[in-house]
Amino acid sequence: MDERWQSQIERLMKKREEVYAAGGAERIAKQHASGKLTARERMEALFDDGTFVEINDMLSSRATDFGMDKKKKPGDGVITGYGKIHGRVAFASSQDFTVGGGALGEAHAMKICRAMDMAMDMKAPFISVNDSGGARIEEGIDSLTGYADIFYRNTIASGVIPQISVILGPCAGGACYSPAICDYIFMTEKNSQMYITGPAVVKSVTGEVISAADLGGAAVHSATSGVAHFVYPDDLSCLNGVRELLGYLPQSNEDTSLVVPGVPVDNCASLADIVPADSKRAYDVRDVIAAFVDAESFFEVQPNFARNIVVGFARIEGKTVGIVANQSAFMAGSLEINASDKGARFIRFCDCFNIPLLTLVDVPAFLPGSQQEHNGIIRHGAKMLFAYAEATVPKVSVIMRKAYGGAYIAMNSKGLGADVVFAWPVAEIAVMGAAGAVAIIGKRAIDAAADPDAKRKELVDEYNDKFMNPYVAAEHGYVDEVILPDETRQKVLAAFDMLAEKKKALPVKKHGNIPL
Amino acid sequence: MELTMEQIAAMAIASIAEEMQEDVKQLRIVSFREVHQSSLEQYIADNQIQYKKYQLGD
Repeated sequence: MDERWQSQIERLMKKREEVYAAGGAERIAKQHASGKLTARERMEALFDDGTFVEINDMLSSRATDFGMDKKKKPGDGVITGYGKIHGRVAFASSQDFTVGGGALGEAHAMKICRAMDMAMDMKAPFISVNDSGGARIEEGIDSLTGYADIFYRNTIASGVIPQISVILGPCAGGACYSPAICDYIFMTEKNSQMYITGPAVVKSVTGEVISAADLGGAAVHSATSGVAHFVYPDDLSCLNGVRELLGYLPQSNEDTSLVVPGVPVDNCASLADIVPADSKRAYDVRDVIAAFVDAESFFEVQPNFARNIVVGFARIEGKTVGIVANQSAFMAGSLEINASDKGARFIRFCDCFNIPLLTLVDVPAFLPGSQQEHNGIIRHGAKMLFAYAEATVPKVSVIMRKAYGGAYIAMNSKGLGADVVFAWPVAEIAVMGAAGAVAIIGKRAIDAAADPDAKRKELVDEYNDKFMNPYVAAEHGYVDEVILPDETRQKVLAAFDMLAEKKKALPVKKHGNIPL
Repeated sequence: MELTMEQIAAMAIASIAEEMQEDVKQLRIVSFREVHQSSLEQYIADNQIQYKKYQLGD
């Protein structure tokens, strides 16, 4: 090797060293002390061992104002690249809090956008790891435009490739809107925060005193606002969660999910014990799911938000399905504003990415009351109807018990385009429950009766006998088959097998106008 | 007993030869690079963290 080669190699190695030193040993130690990994360590944890390849590692800011040209910002505060997750290509960005607080400037945004463009070209998932103080103030409007460039790409990529945001530090102001446009948001218990305006601004504007955690911590966003979908104790478990989720998803809207052989389960003989025949008694619908999906394959989405509806991915015979189920154990499984939003978004995600939908129905009603009406249950509930009707993936329903009124329609009824609807023998498919119905249609007869209570009971018994069963719906073609609980897995599996090659297209249009 | 780098390399080559069912004398090393523990591996070891990367089927 001649001298010139030697000197140029040394020059490259020195540059690499500077980039890899990130914000320096002191800041890295501080990052570790707060329980956080560095940006590169996060990529190592996210991707299959030894597969992460960094791109644009030397891309740097051209800004000169406020002495920016004299400040060293290795990688401009973000690492971008690609690698393999479960042997399949994925792209990612990881903001480096040790470099200028991970603040976003023009070059920082450019790096993220290039990785996003590559993900779109390769039709592969994009994962953004957020740990940033926000916009780099010194770069002014260029920083804001950088955010806009990212939001634009997030929006165009929506429904084409899975987009996952992982919040492992602060994410404040406009920066929140990239995660918000993505499909799923992961947070950690102690170090993640998301808010449009932080506690100091809130105090100065409104006088309200609130901590960062109470304003926008993981507990708030996973249980109250519904912004976050998954919460884990720390960076490592959180990034493992991302790996687990990606195991259920296809690479893009042109792909299908991996088949992952697991341990088949058929405990359907226990379903009649899990679900009480008395429709007023509660049970945990997750026990129903566990009785027939592959062992431990149910991966629940938003488990702490709108707990009256359970949504998540599972595998049956190794194949991914999306499950939407009313949760009888919480608010009797009624549909309200948050449950409608949660259900509709999940349904639309599954439809985007060719994931068949299984709906488990036990719903008494849309939740009544002025709070719901005034906050727009009509608008929000409509999202569920819209999402199911619009979905063209295979759609199978099992009506387990109650299916009343508008909520029955909303839960993937035949009229909304369900491909196959099963019902158990204890299913009650009606406009409403017997007591409410008799109070309306039997009012005159009850008022005129010598013994009103006896007349009411007679009419309730008659209504129960006539309507509170699955047979009227089966006779009218709204239920394809009344099945024994024991047969559930076998029937559901056969239905999805039959529907595997389903091809259904919507009329040509720019896009629908879902009520928002 | 602490092994020298040469001894570790010799043992690795012997293992590869055995795996490939080749005579160790027939193997020729084209390049050799020492792989250091990564920053993440170091962090996990330093903090005695129980960690296993999630794999499909776990």
